[in-house]
Amino acid sequence: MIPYHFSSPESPPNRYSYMQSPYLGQPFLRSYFEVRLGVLRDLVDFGSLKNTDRGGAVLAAKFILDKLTSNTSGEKGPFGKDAPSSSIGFQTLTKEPSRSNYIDTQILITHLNDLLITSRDLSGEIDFEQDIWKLVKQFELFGSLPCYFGIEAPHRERYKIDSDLYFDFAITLCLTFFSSGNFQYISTLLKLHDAILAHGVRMSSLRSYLLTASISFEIQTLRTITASNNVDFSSLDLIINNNEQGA
Amino acid sequence: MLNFGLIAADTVRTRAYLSALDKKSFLPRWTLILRSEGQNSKHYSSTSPPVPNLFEETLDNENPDWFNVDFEPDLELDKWFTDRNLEFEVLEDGDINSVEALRKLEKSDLDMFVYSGFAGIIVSAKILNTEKRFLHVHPGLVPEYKGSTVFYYSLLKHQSLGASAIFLNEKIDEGEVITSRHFTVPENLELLDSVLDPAMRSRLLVEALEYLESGGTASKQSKVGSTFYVIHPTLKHAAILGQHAKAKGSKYDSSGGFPKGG
Repeated sequence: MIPYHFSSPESPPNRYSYMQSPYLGQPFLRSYFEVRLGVLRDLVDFGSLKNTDRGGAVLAAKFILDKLTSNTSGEKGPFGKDAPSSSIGFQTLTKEPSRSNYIDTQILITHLNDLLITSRDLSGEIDFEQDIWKLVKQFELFGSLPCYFGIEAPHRERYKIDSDLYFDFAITLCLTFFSSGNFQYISTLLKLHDAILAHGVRMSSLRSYLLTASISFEIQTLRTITASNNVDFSSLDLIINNNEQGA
Repeated sequence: MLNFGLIAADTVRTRAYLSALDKKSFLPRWTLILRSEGQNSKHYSSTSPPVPNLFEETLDNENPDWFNVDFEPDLELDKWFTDRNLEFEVLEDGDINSVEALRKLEKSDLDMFVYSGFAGIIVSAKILNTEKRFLHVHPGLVPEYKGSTVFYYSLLKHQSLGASAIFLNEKIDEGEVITSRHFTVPENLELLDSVLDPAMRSRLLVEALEYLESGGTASKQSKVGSTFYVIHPTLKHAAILGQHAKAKGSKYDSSGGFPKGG
């Protein structure tokens, strides 16, 4: 048995461990599925949120779970093939330039998630993948996100991995992959989940709900790509079915 | 005959390059060998199949894209150059960005080098500003696929493999393009890193040198694409195993659809 160790507290991953990881065949993938499905089994507890907190983050997570249950293909979405040319986050959030040279990353992510779940046709008018790509770049290079983004450069101060915004960021990555079909977002999502799990981040019920959605999305994507049928996906199917019934 | 030098890290890719160059009699006039214990990727991982079966199992020699592409993974680099009476020097710390590397390159009268460095190392501005040109074969079609491990992203999104021969500049994979091409995707991708990648790059390297020798010139990239980061190992496995699944008639939909599992 090849252990999936990237989310293990004993050996938190870094850029080099990802880069130097060899191909280990089907057993590696099986181990990944088993570890992540085990996390899902421990997480599922979002009934308490049903009639209480229905804020933006929960709506975003619900949106993702709905996508998993609706059996519909992702559309090309708001992003074309080319790199984004403008940045909706700064355009819409820096309304007062005198005090808005920096944007709080949490506010930026919340705003992006709102846009991603509410926008129906963004093509041509607004293109905010550039902002999301900035977040991806920061996480890929440093394993964390800056507290603020400046017009020219991100702030040096950084959010620790046990901050709420990483759970929201996972949702952003799911939504953006769904819109764009760009697998960079799934790759970063996998690394983000590894980091959260390896650091043993404390779980509130809101965090559990968000993580359940993003991990379900991740597993289902991998399951679909690989057409894996030698793994027991019952815990994932249970989440999908429960969401379907609750919809 | 094209006059060029070679920057050659002690890797499998360099061995593939030497084999391809030798077959076409494109021999580097001077070579700087980069050797580093920590970075040496000459040998295969313990999970790789035995070397004698490597090419039979991996490359489809009836396919024109992969025909006549082979190399000796255990070739002794120093001996290879000595046997051919070719000049070379060794940089024991393997650092292309070192002062010593800079000094050696500045001393050379060659104005073009084929670059075969260690993976993940970015050539510094100091080296790039020596007024030499550095020909690099990138394992992805630019500008769509720039950055690291892009062949996996390309496989996942488009079920295709490609490579681009470019001249390095200060921006990652944004230099002028000499030539680029698609490669048909073999069914067995298990040795993508250690065999197919160097095989693919060596094939395109020779084509790029032939193009330059015939008077061809490089051209600027037409648009800005995305720069990718090291792919997560799970997704790498998915790209390889997904190809197997596709060969068996999987229902995978590359548009990003999520057929309900079962």
